[in-house]
Amino acid sequence: MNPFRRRIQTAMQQGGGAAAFSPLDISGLQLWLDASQIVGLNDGDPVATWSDASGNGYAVTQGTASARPTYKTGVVNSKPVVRFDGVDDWLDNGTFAVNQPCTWFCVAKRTGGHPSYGFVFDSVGADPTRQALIYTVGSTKWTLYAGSLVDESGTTGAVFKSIQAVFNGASSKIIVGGTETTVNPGSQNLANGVRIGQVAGAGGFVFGGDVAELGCYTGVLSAGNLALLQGYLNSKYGL
Amino acid sequence: MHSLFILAAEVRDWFNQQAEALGNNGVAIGALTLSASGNEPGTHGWCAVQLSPEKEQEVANLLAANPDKAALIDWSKYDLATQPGFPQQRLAVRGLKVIQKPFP
Repeated sequence: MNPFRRRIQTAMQQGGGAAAFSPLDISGLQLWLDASQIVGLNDGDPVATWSDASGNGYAVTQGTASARPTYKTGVVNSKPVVRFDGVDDWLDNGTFAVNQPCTWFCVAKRTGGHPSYGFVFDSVGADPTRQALIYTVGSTKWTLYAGSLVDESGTTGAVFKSIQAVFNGASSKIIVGGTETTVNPGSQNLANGVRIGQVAGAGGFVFGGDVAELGCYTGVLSAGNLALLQGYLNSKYGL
Repeated sequence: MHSLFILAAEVRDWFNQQAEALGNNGVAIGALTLSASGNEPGTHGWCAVQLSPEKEQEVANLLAANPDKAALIDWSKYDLATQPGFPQQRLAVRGLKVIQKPFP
């Protein structure tokens, strides 16, 4: 589906008519995984493919049945999520890449998984081509990685949060539930694909929990656009 | 219902072969990521998967036909919606821990 049709569909799904904001309204959207746009699955079905609603074709997939996450309806503000079991689930796309500066957004909740770190996303390749959004279990904080590991300043706990992550070297920031923390996660770009739900490499840090939406823009979004995105996520998920 | 399998290293290859024969289309358990101490080397592996009732019956039949292998496999069922912490709880019951690794 082309981005324009997708935007109209999204607006209709949100019940807001043509005025409803869509992430497509901001230029530079590279990847948009939105559980509310998954079609053809019923509650409890395994997710083999999570299509990319950006129109760029970066669907994330899982060919191995035992490693597929689960589609769950009516989880957060009556919206569906993709649920990762915290044991061995993940999805990936082997070609996605994005350079710094870039801006990620996500709505997620960690409920289990590896006792140290849960990777919401990572690159498929190894350093120095990695960016990651991680839940750090010990400090119950959301964490960015692009060569260095840095936390948000607050404490999250096991609740749904909207997360915006601007990867921009020493001027990076992570915004969790509207609270902004300036961080420096390093300057690495993401290359060689993106993995959702697990660290790059087998048998590592597995995320257990729900992901409702995850997306990425090229560039640093303006404060106004970050606010628009935040408002969209807050409204959609009742945060 | 989700099925959680925790198994000893000795039966990993056999388990993976059976999973493949049942249509898993890939390795069910790769690295051994569990041990009693939480340190390397791994002695056990695990996987979780949603099985249809028909597949569950096939697994039950398979384990019943191979009691020597079944003795090394812990199979439990849980509700992913209401029991998200079940895998870790089951690990504790079995005296196992996920191996803690330094950040890669």
